[in-house]
Amino acid sequence: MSILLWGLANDPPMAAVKEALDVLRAPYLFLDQREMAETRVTLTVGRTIAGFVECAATRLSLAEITAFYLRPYDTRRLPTVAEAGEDSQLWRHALQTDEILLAWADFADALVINRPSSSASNNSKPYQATLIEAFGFAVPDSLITTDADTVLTFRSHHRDVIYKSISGVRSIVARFTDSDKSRLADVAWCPTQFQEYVTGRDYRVHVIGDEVFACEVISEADDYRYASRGGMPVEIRRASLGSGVESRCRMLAAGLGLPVAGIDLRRTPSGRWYCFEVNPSPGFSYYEHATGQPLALSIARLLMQASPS
Amino acid sequence: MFVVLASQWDEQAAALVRDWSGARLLTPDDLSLPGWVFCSSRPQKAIIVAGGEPLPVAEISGVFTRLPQVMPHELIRIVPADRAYVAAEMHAFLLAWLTSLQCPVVNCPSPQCLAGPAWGRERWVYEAAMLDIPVVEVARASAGSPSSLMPGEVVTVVGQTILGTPNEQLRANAARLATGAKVTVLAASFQDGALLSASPWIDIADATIVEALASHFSVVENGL
Repeated sequence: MSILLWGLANDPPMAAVKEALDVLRAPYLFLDQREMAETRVTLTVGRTIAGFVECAATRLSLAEITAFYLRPYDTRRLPTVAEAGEDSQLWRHALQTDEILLAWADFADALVINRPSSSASNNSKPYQATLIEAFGFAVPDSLITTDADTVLTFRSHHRDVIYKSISGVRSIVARFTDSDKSRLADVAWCPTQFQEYVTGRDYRVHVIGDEVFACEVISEADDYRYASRGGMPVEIRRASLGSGVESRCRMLAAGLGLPVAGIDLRRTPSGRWYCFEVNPSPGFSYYEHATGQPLALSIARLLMQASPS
Repeated sequence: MFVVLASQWDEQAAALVRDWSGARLLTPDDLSLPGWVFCSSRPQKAIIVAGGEPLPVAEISGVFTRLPQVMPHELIRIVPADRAYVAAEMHAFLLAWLTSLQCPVVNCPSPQCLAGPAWGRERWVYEAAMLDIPVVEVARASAGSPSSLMPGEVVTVVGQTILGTPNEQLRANAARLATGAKVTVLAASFQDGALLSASPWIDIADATIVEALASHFSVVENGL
């Protein structure tokens, strides 16, 4: 069994998976992005695939790797790489390492959590919404526009409207209020996404292989992830969705090609389930800490199951 | 109306639009103009802005994409501090818009590339090998620089038309690779019959390729 981990040691989800693998006494090689200068990677593609990863005097053949868990950060922003600068050998080495590992991750004959091409649907929320809808979840009516008057018409139709980013760049969901009207003309600079506001209770669902872990989020904030900024409390507790919704979550993650996914749902007072997005690289440790659900352990077991015993 | 999605600095795309009557150039600059309306529940009623002018989606009969992604440096109307974010937003929106279209889009975008698969040479070689197409091995190492690609024999696929070689085996292999990659247009480079690399970037400075592209859109449009 050979498990490869790639990311930052102090990234909470990565640290949690490492710790879980330690608890389970599963061997792994961890490529720490901060040790970039000491990391070597090769990849040869022809009739067969060959290559190796090497770090801390440990070399692993790519052919031996049965599972790969990756949560890479933008290497160029790591302090040592950024300080070395674009013309440095370290910068080129870092980019080459990223390119090789990301390319291999997409066609590796291993369990990959998650393949970059599968993760990419999350980079466009409206694109991903069309995929989500096919799995039976409701998605909010959305308007993307550079036209201020159209926003006002959309708002008058839905009464309550939020705005949020279109891309995967994390942004805060915010309610559109009368005070926003004065800067509405700014939408002309870039298509901006507005959505009908859906009332109800938030749920975060983690699908890990065939396992489904759901939790309920109780908060008055428009975006509970940032509730603390407004001094608003957030309570997260374990929940059960019922087998029908759990099954849909499982099919949605599998349909998007994601062995691990964080699914954001909202249940309306009438019992309708909306899905806002599927996160391919969920920061699950926040929810694990709040609920005690064994998410890292489940991911570790999934990585181990991919290995021949 | 045909729409060519390209960088504002893509001179070949601009020339294509000049030569094709009824074609309009859409650049990222158009996304910083009022008039875009895209409602997720009614994508067929969307209105875009191309060449600075509004254009209802219902009037678009085909889109040719030459833009892999929206690059921040192209957004000269946007203040520098916001360009990376705006570029990501525009890219995300264009992906949603292009994939909502009922008309032919060549190539269909992928989440990582608006003009087809965002594959490097390793992936193209891998896909070809999976199809039992002879390949030239490609090697990468973090310690080295990417090896420079030797010029090969370029075979261009445009729908059902194969250009660039009379060699039946190469023509068949290029067509199989395009089908396997689910792309309509492809430039595949071969060396001694083995695939060196491939990409969605066909040479639209070549009149025969442009003619094949026009013919493809016409065939698709007329359902022939």
